[in-house]
Amino acid sequence: MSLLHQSPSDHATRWSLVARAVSPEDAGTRAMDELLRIYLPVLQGMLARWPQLDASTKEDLLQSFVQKRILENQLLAKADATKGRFRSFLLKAFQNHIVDEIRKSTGAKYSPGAENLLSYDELAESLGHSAELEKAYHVAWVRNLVEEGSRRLHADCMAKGRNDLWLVFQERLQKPFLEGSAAMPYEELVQRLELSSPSQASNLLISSKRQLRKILEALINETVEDPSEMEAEWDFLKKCLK
Amino acid sequence: MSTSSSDSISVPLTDSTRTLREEAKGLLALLNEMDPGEPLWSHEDLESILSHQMEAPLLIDLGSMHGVNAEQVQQLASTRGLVLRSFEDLLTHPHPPVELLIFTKEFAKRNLASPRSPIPAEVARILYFSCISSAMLKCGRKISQLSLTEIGEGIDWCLHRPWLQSEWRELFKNTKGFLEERGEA
Repeated sequence: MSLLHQSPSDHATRWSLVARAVSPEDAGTRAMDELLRIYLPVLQGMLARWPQLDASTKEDLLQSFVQKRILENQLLAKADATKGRFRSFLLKAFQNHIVDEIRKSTGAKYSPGAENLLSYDELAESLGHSAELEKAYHVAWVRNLVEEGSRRLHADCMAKGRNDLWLVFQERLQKPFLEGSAAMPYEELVQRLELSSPSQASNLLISSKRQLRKILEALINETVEDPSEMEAEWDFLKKCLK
Repeated sequence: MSTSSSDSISVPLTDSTRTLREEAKGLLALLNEMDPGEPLWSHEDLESILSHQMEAPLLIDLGSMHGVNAEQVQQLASTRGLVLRSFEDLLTHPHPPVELLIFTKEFAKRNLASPRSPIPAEVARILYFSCISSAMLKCGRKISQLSLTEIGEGIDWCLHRPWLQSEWRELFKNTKGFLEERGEA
Protein backbone atom coordinates (compact mmCIF):
# COMPACT_ATOMS: atom_id res chain seq x y z
CA MET A 1 0.00 0.00 0.00
CA SER A 2 1.34 3.39 -0.89
CA LEU A 3 1.54 5.47 2.22
CA LEU A 4 1.83 8.98 0.91
CA HIS A 5 -0.16 8.40 -2.17
CA GLN A 6 -0.79 11.83 -3.54
CA SER A 7 0.49 12.31 -7.04
CA PRO A 8 3.39 14.73 -7.46
CA SER A 9 1.07 17.09 -9.31
CA ASP A 10 -1.31 17.32 -6.37
CA HIS A 11 -0.12 20.29 -4.38
CA ALA A 12 -2.62 19.84 -1.56
CA THR A 13 -1.07 20.21 1.85
CA ARG A 14 -1.94 17.97 4.76
CA TRP A 15 -4.05 20.72 6.27
CA SER A 16 -6.09 21.20 3.11
CA LEU A 17 -6.63 17.45 3.06
CA VAL A 18 -7.82 17.62 6.67
CA ALA A 19 -10.18 20.45 5.77
CA ARG A 20 -11.66 18.36 2.96
CA ALA A 21 -11.91 15.29 5.15
CA VAL A 22 -14.40 16.94 7.54
CA SER A 23 -16.77 17.70 4.69
CA PRO A 24 -19.85 15.44 4.46
CA GLU A 25 -19.51 15.26 0.68
CA ASP A 26 -17.98 12.37 -1.23
CA ALA A 27 -14.80 14.37 -1.50
CA GLY A 28 -14.71 14.33 2.29
CA THR A 29 -14.84 10.54 2.36
CA ARG A 30 -12.05 10.31 -0.17
CA ALA A 31 -9.93 12.78 1.75
CA MET A 32 -10.58 10.86 4.97
CA ASP A 33 -9.51 7.61 3.30
CA GLU A 34 -6.39 9.33 2.08
CA LEU A 35 -5.51 10.65 5.51
CA LEU A 36 -6.02 7.27 7.13
CA ARG A 37 -3.90 5.64 4.46
CA ILE A 38 -1.13 8.10 5.20
CA TYR A 39 -1.22 8.24 8.98
CA LEU A 40 -2.42 4.86 10.25
CA PRO A 41 0.80 3.06 9.29
CA VAL A 42 2.72 5.71 11.22
CA LEU A 43 0.64 5.05 14.33
CA GLN A 44 1.15 1.33 13.72
CA GLY A 45 4.87 1.93 13.45
CA MET A 46 4.83 3.63 16.85
CA LEU A 47 2.80 0.85 18.47
CA ALA A 48 5.13 -1.74 16.99
CA ARG A 49 7.85 -0.30 19.22
CA TRP A 50 5.78 -0.93 22.38
CA PRO A 51 6.62 -4.52 23.24
CA GLN A 52 4.64 -4.53 26.49
CA LEU A 53 1.37 -4.35 24.56
CA ASP A 54 0.21 -7.48 22.78
CA ALA A 55 -0.76 -7.45 19.13
CA SER A 56 -4.53 -7.59 19.72
CA THR A 57 -4.39 -4.67 22.18
CA LYS A 58 -2.47 -2.62 19.62
CA GLU A 59 -5.01 -3.48 16.95
CA ASP A 60 -7.90 -2.59 19.29
CA LEU A 61 -6.28 0.74 20.19
CA LEU A 62 -5.90 1.66 16.56
CA GLN A 63 -9.36 0.55 15.49
CA SER A 64 -11.06 2.29 18.40
CA PHE A 65 -9.08 5.47 17.71
CA VAL A 66 -10.34 5.56 14.14
CA GLN A 67 -13.89 4.61 15.02
CA LYS A 68 -14.46 6.63 18.18
CA ARG A 69 -12.16 9.59 17.89
CA ILE A 70 -11.84 10.23 14.22
CA LEU A 71 -15.17 9.10 12.81
CA GLU A 72 -17.64 9.48 15.70
CA ASN A 73 -16.11 12.38 17.64
CA GLN A 74 -14.98 14.18 14.51
CA LEU A 75 -11.50 14.70 15.82
CA LEU A 76 -10.36 16.30 12.60
CA ALA A 77 -12.86 19.14 12.97
CA LYS A 78 -10.99 20.14 16.14
CA ALA A 79 -7.63 20.27 14.41
CA ASP A 80 -6.26 23.80 14.08
CA ALA A 81 -3.72 24.59 11.39
CA THR A 82 -2.46 27.59 13.35
CA LYS A 83 -1.26 25.33 16.16
CA GLY A 84 1.43 23.47 14.28
CA ARG A 85 1.88 20.23 12.43
CA PHE A 86 -1.08 17.96 11.81
CA ARG A 87 0.92 14.89 12.71
CA SER A 88 1.76 16.42 16.13
CA PHE A 89 -1.94 17.02 16.70
CA LEU A 90 -2.68 13.44 15.71
CA LEU A 91 0.03 12.05 17.99
CA LYS A 92 -1.32 13.93 21.01
CA ALA A 93 -4.86 12.77 20.27
CA PHE A 94 -3.68 9.18 19.93
CA GLN A 95 -1.72 9.36 23.17
CA ASN A 96 -4.82 10.65 24.98
CA HIS A 97 -6.86 7.88 23.43
CA ILE A 98 -4.41 5.22 24.60
CA VAL A 99 -4.57 6.53 28.16
CA ASP A 100 -8.37 6.58 28.13
CA GLU A 101 -8.67 3.10 26.70
CA ILE A 102 -6.17 1.56 29.09
CA ARG A 103 -7.81 3.27 32.05
CA LYS A 104 -11.09 1.75 31.02
CA SER A 105 -9.67 -1.69 30.59
CA THR A 106 -7.78 -1.64 33.91
CA GLY A 107 -10.69 -0.36 36.00
CA ALA A 108 -10.56 1.92 39.06
CA LYS A 109 -6.83 2.32 39.24
CA TYR A 110 -6.82 4.55 36.20
CA SER A 111 -10.42 5.78 36.31
CA PRO A 112 -11.04 9.50 35.86
CA GLY A 113 -11.07 11.34 39.17
CA ALA A 114 -8.86 8.83 40.92
CA GLU A 115 -5.96 10.37 42.87
CA ASN A 116 -3.40 8.28 41.09
CA LEU A 117 -4.55 9.32 37.65
CA LEU A 118 -1.67 8.76 35.28
CA SER A 119 -0.54 10.87 32.39
CA TYR A 120 0.36 9.31 29.07
CA ASP A 121 4.05 9.50 29.88
CA GLU A 122 3.53 7.90 33.27
CA LEU A 123 1.36 5.25 31.72
CA ALA A 124 3.95 4.53 29.07
CA GLU A 125 6.57 4.36 31.81
CA SER A 126 4.41 2.13 33.99
CA LEU A 127 4.01 -0.26 31.11
CA GLY A 128 7.75 -0.62 30.99
CA HIS A 129 8.45 1.70 28.15
CA SER A 130 9.86 5.19 28.04
CA ALA A 131 9.04 8.31 26.05
CA GLU A 132 10.91 6.70 23.18
CA LEU A 133 7.46 5.94 21.80
CA GLU A 134 7.25 9.49 20.58
CA LYS A 135 10.55 9.03 18.85
CA ALA A 136 9.18 5.82 17.35
CA TYR A 137 6.32 7.85 15.90
CA HIS A 138 8.71 10.32 14.27
CA VAL A 139 10.96 7.53 13.01
CA ALA A 140 7.93 5.80 11.47
CA TRP A 141 6.96 9.09 9.84
CA VAL A 142 10.37 9.60 8.26
CA ARG A 143 10.52 6.00 7.17
CA ASN A 144 7.09 6.47 5.61
CA LEU A 145 8.39 9.51 3.77
CA VAL A 146 11.51 7.74 2.55
CA GLU A 147 9.51 4.69 1.48
CA GLU A 148 7.25 6.82 -0.68
CA GLY A 149 10.27 8.73 -1.97
CA SER A 150 11.88 5.42 -2.94
CA ARG A 151 8.71 4.34 -4.76
CA ARG A 152 8.63 7.54 -6.75
CA LEU A 153 12.33 7.30 -7.53
CA HIS A 154 11.81 3.75 -8.72
CA ALA A 155 8.88 4.83 -10.91
CA ASP A 156 10.94 7.69 -12.39
CA CYS A 157 13.94 5.47 -13.05
CA MET A 158 11.83 2.80 -14.75
CA ALA A 159 9.94 5.37 -16.83
CA LYS A 160 13.23 6.81 -18.07
CA GLY A 161 14.93 3.46 -18.54
CA ARG A 162 17.45 4.33 -15.81
CA ASN A 163 17.83 0.91 -14.22
CA ASP A 164 21.44 1.84 -13.50
CA LEU A 165 20.40 4.76 -11.30
CA TRP A 166 17.95 2.59 -9.40
CA LEU A 167 20.44 -0.22 -8.85
CA VAL A 168 23.07 2.18 -7.52
CA PHE A 169 20.48 3.76 -5.20
CA GLN A 170 19.40 0.35 -3.93
CA GLU A 171 22.88 -0.98 -3.37
CA ARG A 172 24.59 2.12 -2.00
CA LEU A 173 21.78 3.87 -0.09
CA GLN A 174 18.68 1.80 0.47
CA LYS A 175 20.28 -1.44 1.62
CA PRO A 176 23.00 -0.01 3.85
CA PHE A 177 20.98 2.79 5.44
CA LEU A 178 17.47 1.35 5.58
CA GLU A 179 18.16 -2.34 5.92
CA GLY A 180 21.51 -2.32 7.68
CA SER A 181 23.16 -4.56 5.09
CA ALA A 182 26.54 -4.02 3.48
CA ALA A 183 26.85 -1.62 0.55
CA MET A 184 27.84 -3.25 -2.72
CA PRO A 185 31.50 -2.42 -3.49
CA TYR A 186 32.00 -0.02 -6.37
CA GLU A 187 34.02 -2.57 -8.29
CA GLU A 188 31.03 -4.92 -8.26
CA LEU A 189 28.71 -2.15 -9.39
CA VAL A 190 31.10 -1.37 -12.23
CA GLN A 191 30.90 -5.00 -13.32
CA ARG A 192 27.15 -5.37 -12.98
CA LEU A 193 26.41 -2.15 -14.82
CA GLU A 194 29.26 -2.57 -17.29
CA LEU A 195 30.65 0.83 -16.41
CA SER A 196 34.14 1.96 -17.26
CA SER A 197 35.11 3.18 -13.79
CA PRO A 198 34.06 3.46 -10.14
CA SER A 199 33.81 7.22 -10.68
CA GLN A 200 30.97 6.54 -13.11
CA ALA A 201 29.22 4.51 -10.43
CA SER A 202 29.84 7.29 -7.96
CA ASN A 203 28.37 9.82 -10.39
CA LEU A 204 25.26 7.66 -10.67
CA LEU A 205 25.02 7.64 -6.90
CA ILE A 206 25.20 11.42 -6.79
CA SER A 207 22.45 11.65 -9.41
CA SER A 208 20.23 9.29 -7.46
CA LYS A 209 20.82 11.27 -4.25
CA ARG A 210 19.88 14.49 -5.98
CA GLN A 211 16.77 12.93 -7.46
CA LEU A 212 15.64 11.45 -4.16
CA ARG A 213 16.30 14.74 -2.42
CA LYS A 214 14.01 16.51 -4.90
CA ILE A 215 11.29 13.92 -4.40
CA LEU A 216 11.54 14.14 -0.62
CA GLU A 217 11.41 17.92 -0.78
CA ALA A 218 8.20 17.66 -2.82
CA LEU A 219 6.74 15.24 -0.29
CA ILE A 220 7.73 17.46 2.63
CA ASN A 221 6.21 20.44 0.83
CA GLU A 222 2.90 18.62 1.01
CA THR A 223 3.14 18.63 4.79
CA VAL A 224 3.94 22.32 5.27
CA GLU A 225 1.78 25.35 4.64
CA ASP A 226 4.42 27.27 2.73
CA PRO A 227 7.33 25.92 0.64
CA SER A 228 9.63 28.30 2.51
CA GLU A 229 9.15 26.06 5.55
CA MET A 230 10.57 23.03 3.75
CA GLU A 231 14.20 23.50 4.85
CA ALA A 232 13.17 23.98 8.46
CA GLU A 233 11.00 20.87 8.29
CA TRP A 234 13.89 18.90 6.80
CA ASP A 235 16.06 19.96 9.72
CA PHE A 236 13.25 19.18 12.17
CA LEU A 237 12.93 15.64 10.81
CA LYS A 238 16.66 15.13 11.22
CA LYS A 239 16.47 16.44 14.77
CA CYS A 240 13.71 13.95 15.55
CA LEU A 241 16.00 11.12 14.49
CA LYS A 242 18.86 12.10 16.78
CA MET B 1 23.68 -4.51 -18.69
CA SER B 2 22.74 -6.58 -15.72
CA THR B 3 20.41 -4.89 -13.28
CA SER B 4 17.81 -5.83 -10.76
CA SER B 5 15.11 -3.40 -11.76
CA SER B 6 12.43 -5.79 -10.63
CA ASP B 7 13.92 -6.13 -7.16
CA SER B 8 11.58 -5.41 -4.34
CA ILE B 9 11.15 -1.73 -3.67
CA SER B 10 9.33 -2.34 -0.45
CA VAL B 11 10.80 -0.85 2.69
CA PRO B 12 8.91 -2.17 5.71
CA LEU B 13 7.54 0.69 7.80
CA THR B 14 9.02 -0.75 10.94
CA ASP B 15 11.97 -3.03 10.68
CA SER B 16 11.54 -5.34 13.63
CA THR B 17 15.02 -6.76 13.17
CA ARG B 18 16.61 -3.42 14.05
CA THR B 19 16.32 -1.42 17.23
CA LEU B 20 14.67 1.96 17.15
CA ARG B 21 18.06 3.55 17.61
CA GLU B 22 19.52 1.65 14.66
CA GLU B 23 16.58 2.50 12.47
CA ALA B 24 16.73 6.20 13.39
CA LYS B 25 20.48 6.22 12.81
CA GLY B 26 20.08 4.70 9.34
CA LEU B 27 17.39 7.18 8.34
CA LEU B 28 19.41 10.10 9.65
CA ALA B 29 22.47 8.93 7.74
CA LEU B 30 20.37 8.70 4.58
CA LEU B 31 19.02 12.24 5.02
CA ASN B 32 22.53 13.48 5.75
CA GLU B 33 23.73 11.89 2.51
CA MET B 34 21.32 14.11 0.64
CA ASP B 35 22.18 17.36 2.39
CA PRO B 36 23.31 19.81 -0.28
CA GLY B 37 26.39 20.87 1.65
CA GLU B 38 27.76 17.36 2.11
CA PRO B 39 30.89 16.24 0.24
CA LEU B 40 29.99 14.30 -2.85
CA TRP B 41 32.63 11.62 -2.37
CA SER B 42 33.17 9.32 0.56
CA HIS B 43 36.67 8.19 1.53
CA GLU B 44 35.80 4.80 0.12
CA ASP B 45 34.77 6.45 -3.16
CA LEU B 46 38.00 8.38 -3.39
CA GLU B 47 40.18 5.38 -2.60
CA SER B 48 38.37 3.34 -5.19
CA ILE B 49 38.51 6.07 -7.85
CA LEU B 50 42.21 6.66 -7.23
CA SER B 51 42.91 2.94 -7.65
CA HIS B 52 40.97 2.87 -10.86
CA GLN B 53 42.65 5.98 -12.21
CA MET B 54 46.09 4.57 -11.46
CA GLU B 55 45.18 1.39 -13.31
CA ALA B 56 43.76 3.27 -16.31
CA PRO B 57 45.64 2.99 -19.65
CA LEU B 58 48.02 5.87 -20.25
CA LEU B 59 47.41 5.82 -23.95
CA ILE B 60 43.69 6.47 -23.69
CA ASP B 61 43.76 9.26 -21.11
CA LEU B 62 46.89 11.05 -22.27
CA GLY B 63 46.33 10.36 -25.95
CA SER B 64 42.93 12.04 -25.85
CA MET B 65 44.37 15.23 -24.34
CA HIS B 66 44.33 18.29 -26.55
CA GLY B 67 47.80 19.03 -27.85
CA VAL B 68 49.15 15.53 -27.18
CA ASN B 69 49.71 12.96 -29.87
CA ALA B 70 48.69 9.39 -29.00
CA GLU B 71 51.59 8.03 -31.04
CA GLN B 72 53.99 10.16 -29.03
CA VAL B 73 52.58 8.72 -25.81
CA GLN B 74 52.83 5.20 -27.22
CA GLN B 75 56.42 5.78 -28.23
CA LEU B 76 57.46 7.20 -24.85
CA ALA B 77 55.69 4.39 -23.00
CA SER B 78 57.53 1.71 -24.92
CA THR B 79 60.89 3.34 -25.44
CA ARG B 80 64.07 1.66 -24.17
CA GLY B 81 62.18 -1.58 -23.60
CA LEU B 82 59.68 0.01 -21.22
CA VAL B 83 56.21 -1.46 -20.87
CA LEU B 84 54.22 1.35 -19.32
CA ARG B 85 50.57 0.64 -19.79
CA SER B 86 49.00 2.42 -16.84
CA PHE B 87 49.58 5.46 -14.66
CA GLU B 88 50.63 3.09 -11.91
CA ASP B 89 53.25 1.51 -14.21
CA LEU B 90 54.60 4.98 -14.94
CA LEU B 91 54.60 6.31 -11.39
CA THR B 92 56.09 3.19 -9.80
CA HIS B 93 58.77 2.70 -12.44
CA PRO B 94 62.30 3.40 -11.11
CA HIS B 95 63.25 5.33 -14.26
CA PRO B 96 60.13 6.81 -15.83
CA PRO B 97 60.38 9.01 -18.94
CA VAL B 98 60.13 12.55 -17.63
CA GLU B 99 58.11 13.62 -20.71
CA LEU B 100 55.36 11.19 -19.75
CA LEU B 101 55.37 12.51 -16.20
CA ILE B 102 54.94 16.02 -17.61
CA PHE B 103 52.03 14.89 -19.80
CA THR B 104 50.42 13.15 -16.83
CA LYS B 105 50.90 16.20 -14.62
CA GLU B 106 49.19 18.28 -17.33
CA PHE B 107 46.36 15.74 -17.55
CA ALA B 108 45.86 15.98 -13.77
CA LYS B 109 46.01 19.77 -13.87
CA ARG B 110 43.36 19.99 -16.59
CA ASN B 111 41.09 17.69 -14.62
CA LEU B 112 41.65 19.78 -11.51
CA ALA B 113 40.59 22.90 -13.37
CA SER B 114 37.52 21.46 -15.07
CA PRO B 115 34.22 21.43 -13.17
CA ARG B 116 32.98 18.80 -15.61
CA SER B 117 35.87 16.43 -15.00
CA PRO B 118 34.77 12.90 -14.09
CA ILE B 119 37.81 12.67 -11.81
CA PRO B 120 37.27 14.15 -8.34
CA ALA B 121 39.60 17.05 -7.57
CA GLU B 122 41.15 15.16 -4.66
CA VAL B 123 42.17 12.29 -6.94
CA ALA B 124 43.46 14.64 -9.62
CA ARG B 125 45.54 16.44 -6.98
CA ILE B 126 47.11 13.15 -5.83
CA LEU B 127 47.96 12.32 -9.44
CA TYR B 128 49.41 15.80 -9.91
CA PHE B 129 51.73 15.62 -6.92
CA SER B 130 52.65 11.99 -7.70
CA CYS B 131 54.08 13.18 -11.02
CA ILE B 132 56.00 16.01 -9.40
CA SER B 133 57.32 13.60 -6.75
CA SER B 134 58.37 10.93 -9.22
CA ALA B 135 60.14 13.44 -11.44
CA MET B 136 61.96 14.92 -8.48
CA LEU B 137 62.99 11.64 -6.88
CA LYS B 138 63.63 9.47 -9.92
CA CYS B 139 64.59 11.86 -12.71
CA GLY B 140 66.17 14.62 -10.63
CA ARG B 141 63.85 17.12 -12.34
CA LYS B 142 61.48 19.73 -11.02
CA ILE B 143 58.60 19.68 -13.49
CA SER B 144 56.41 22.24 -11.74
CA GLN B 145 56.60 25.99 -11.45
CA LEU B 146 55.53 25.67 -7.82
CA SER B 147 58.20 26.58 -5.29
CA LEU B 148 59.68 23.75 -3.20
CA THR B 149 57.78 25.12 -0.20
CA GLU B 150 54.53 24.99 -2.14
CA ILE B 151 55.33 21.47 -3.30
CA GLY B 152 56.02 20.55 0.33
CA GLU B 153 52.62 21.92 1.33
CA GLY B 154 50.97 19.95 -1.47
CA ILE B 155 52.75 16.76 -0.37
CA ASP B 156 51.56 17.35 3.21
CA TRP B 157 48.02 17.71 1.91
CA CYS B 158 48.36 14.39 0.09
CA LEU B 159 49.75 12.65 3.17
CA HIS B 160 46.78 13.83 5.20
CA ARG B 161 44.27 12.01 2.96
CA PRO B 162 43.19 9.02 5.08
CA TRP B 163 42.09 7.10 1.98
CA LEU B 164 45.51 7.30 0.32
CA GLN B 165 46.90 3.84 -0.49
CA SER B 166 50.24 2.78 0.96
CA GLU B 167 52.29 2.85 -2.27
CA TRP B 168 51.42 6.51 -2.87
CA ARG B 169 51.86 7.35 0.78
CA GLU B 170 55.36 5.88 0.55
CA LEU B 171 56.14 7.99 -2.53
CA PHE B 172 55.02 11.19 -0.76
CA LYS B 173 56.93 10.32 2.41
CA ASN B 174 60.07 9.89 0.34
CA THR B 175 59.44 13.24 -1.34
CA LYS B 176 58.91 14.87 2.02
CA GLY B 177 62.21 13.39 3.22
CA PHE B 178 63.90 14.65 0.07
CA LEU B 179 62.55 18.17 0.66
CA GLU B 180 63.43 18.07 4.36
CA GLU B 181 67.03 17.29 3.49
CA ARG B 182 67.00 20.51 1.50
CA GLY B 183 65.32 22.41 4.31
CA GLU B 184 62.14 22.92 2.31
CA ALA B 185 59.59 20.99 4.35
